[in-house]
Amino acid sequence: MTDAPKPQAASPSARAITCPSCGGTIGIKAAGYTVSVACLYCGTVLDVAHDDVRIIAEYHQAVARLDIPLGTRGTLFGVEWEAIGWLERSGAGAVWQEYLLFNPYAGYRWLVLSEGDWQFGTMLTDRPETVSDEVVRWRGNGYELDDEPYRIATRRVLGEFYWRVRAGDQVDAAVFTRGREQLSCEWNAEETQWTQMVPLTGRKVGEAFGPKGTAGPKGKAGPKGKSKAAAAAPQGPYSSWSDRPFSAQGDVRRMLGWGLVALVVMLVVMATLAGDRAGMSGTMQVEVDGGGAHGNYGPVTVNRATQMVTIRLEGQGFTNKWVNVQLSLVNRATHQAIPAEATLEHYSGTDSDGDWSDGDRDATLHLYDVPRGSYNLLIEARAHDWHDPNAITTSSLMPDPLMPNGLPTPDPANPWGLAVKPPPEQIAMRFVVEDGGMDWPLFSTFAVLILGVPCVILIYRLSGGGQR
Amino acid sequence: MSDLLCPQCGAPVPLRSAAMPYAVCGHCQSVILREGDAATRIGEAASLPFDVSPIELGTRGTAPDGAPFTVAGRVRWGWGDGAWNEWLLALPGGGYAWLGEAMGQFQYLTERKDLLDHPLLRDVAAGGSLPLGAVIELDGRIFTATDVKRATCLGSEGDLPFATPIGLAIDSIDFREPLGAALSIQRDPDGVSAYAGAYIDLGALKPKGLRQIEGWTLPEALR
Repeated sequence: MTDAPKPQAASPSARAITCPSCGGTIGIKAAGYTVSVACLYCGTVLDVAHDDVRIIAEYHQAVARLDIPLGTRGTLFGVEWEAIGWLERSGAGAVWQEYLLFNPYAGYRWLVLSEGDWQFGTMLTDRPETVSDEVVRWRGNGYELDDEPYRIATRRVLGEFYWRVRAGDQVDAAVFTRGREQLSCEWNAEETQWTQMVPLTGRKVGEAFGPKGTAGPKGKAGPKGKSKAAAAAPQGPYSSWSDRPFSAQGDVRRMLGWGLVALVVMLVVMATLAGDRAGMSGTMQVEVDGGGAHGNYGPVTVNRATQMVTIRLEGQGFTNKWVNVQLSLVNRATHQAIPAEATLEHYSGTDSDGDWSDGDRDATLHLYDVPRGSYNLLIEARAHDWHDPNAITTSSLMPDPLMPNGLPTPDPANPWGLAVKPPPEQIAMRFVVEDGGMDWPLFSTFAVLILGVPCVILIYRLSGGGQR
Repeated sequence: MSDLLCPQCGAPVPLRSAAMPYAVCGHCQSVILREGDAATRIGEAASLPFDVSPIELGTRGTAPDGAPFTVAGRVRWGWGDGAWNEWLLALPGGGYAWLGEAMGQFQYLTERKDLLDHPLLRDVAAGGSLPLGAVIELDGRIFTATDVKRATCLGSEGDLPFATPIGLAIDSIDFREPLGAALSIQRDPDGVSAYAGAYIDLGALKPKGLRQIEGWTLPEALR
């Protein structure tokens, strides 16, 4: 005889303990599994395997601000996970973070963030077989040793763990790779643990664990544990600075962040100075290889004491031609002229490398420090045809392999194939004048200068050797 | 067969597996020896510490060999660095198996009396220690001792094949095998027993009636 199934009240999901070091209340999410807890308030590591909560190691460190705050839930691979523990570990010259994920029905998983890349880790219960010194076989597939085995040190811990964790713990590790999937092996004197690691996009992690998921690590350095492998962190006002610029996490994101802040400020300032944008526009027709086109347009009014005037020129859909444009902004009162010049060009063709195209049909001109006043815009434009010297000109009597009968198809409008002078070709050129406007080239220059350094570092890291 | 009444407190003690001689009163933690319709209190069990195991008494499922099971009892063992659950699965015809639960992973184990003749186990039964790295061959597989520890019973519930009074202590030896097979040897005051099986996904047991835990929904695969 057995119990009839009956609806039951749900069991509570957490056990509360009090940190003996700081008195903070900590909810144990994986009650029964959790052995040690690093207090979220003071960082002290506690033994909670037994009813009397004991201090394993006391650290009065600044508690890290995490990309995924502990207690955050997210769904990955169709299962909801709660981030309950966090480790900062170092090895092979790098520092990375590992989040311990928990679901009472599905157990534990790992979410590893290393140099901006996320991986999802599942602990193996079946051991890969050793094929050779450099190859292991797991579930029928071979995995190759990545690199020399290395030593991993745990630098900082937060949250709860199913083993007795402490900062300064060291294990040896090796990584075996098959495509984008990895098997990570960690061992110490007592045990060996294999973990399967699969890549996850930052976007997926972001969608699962909130808007911060795509962000890089915060890298807020605090006093490290007793690990000898960890370099001492800077103290005092520099404590949030990275101690190892080319491996510490988080600095690039901070640089990019501040760079972006600076650019946004610049953008606001430049846009404010750009003023109101009363525009004027029109279209000119320019005959190709003709005598050139002239136009006189206006008025363009400048209301401030001095202001930038932006003139945009747009050549309409020509190719293998170039247009030289001379223009002047002439003050109606003083007849003082501010000259400018631009070339619109577009070429395309075919060579041994295949199809190519080159040039820009549009141009933007900035006239700086234009004094207050009313102006006319004078435009002079000459368009020229360009012949591709590499273009194959097929004689009409040469059999053309592209034509089924080997001869050109007769043109019904010109049955005799007589040379007909085509009408002169015209290029339409639109112009737009705006007093004020953003000086995008200047802005871009600053953007490159400001963001260049972190980008170079980022590229350096992405091309550098990864770990785990 | 009706429920027994606890000889200590009078609370009904539901019978979950007729084959099990012992039961723990869910009300007063008395360890009860059942003989036919008679119930004798033989001691007291520790009350289980709170945990968030997905299993509970009454959870049903399908064993790897296809037999239906009901979870009839549990023993929780603790050691210096943690604790684990052993759930008693009552099988048809009075048989039983164990579902070991540690660190969020599960092992399905059945008792292997045939192993007790193994020279290594005779050593263990005689009080010798089994060193880490010792090897046992079973069913054509090589098992290596990876974990040797002393554990104490932290609590128990339901129907059980042995008594679980407060302070019960065992020596536990875990073996591992490359393909995920598992072997576990226990030595308690009554002697040595051996259990063999494999790591298993909870979903593979097609469980029904898992514990409902506040704030968590059952994953699709376990509904």
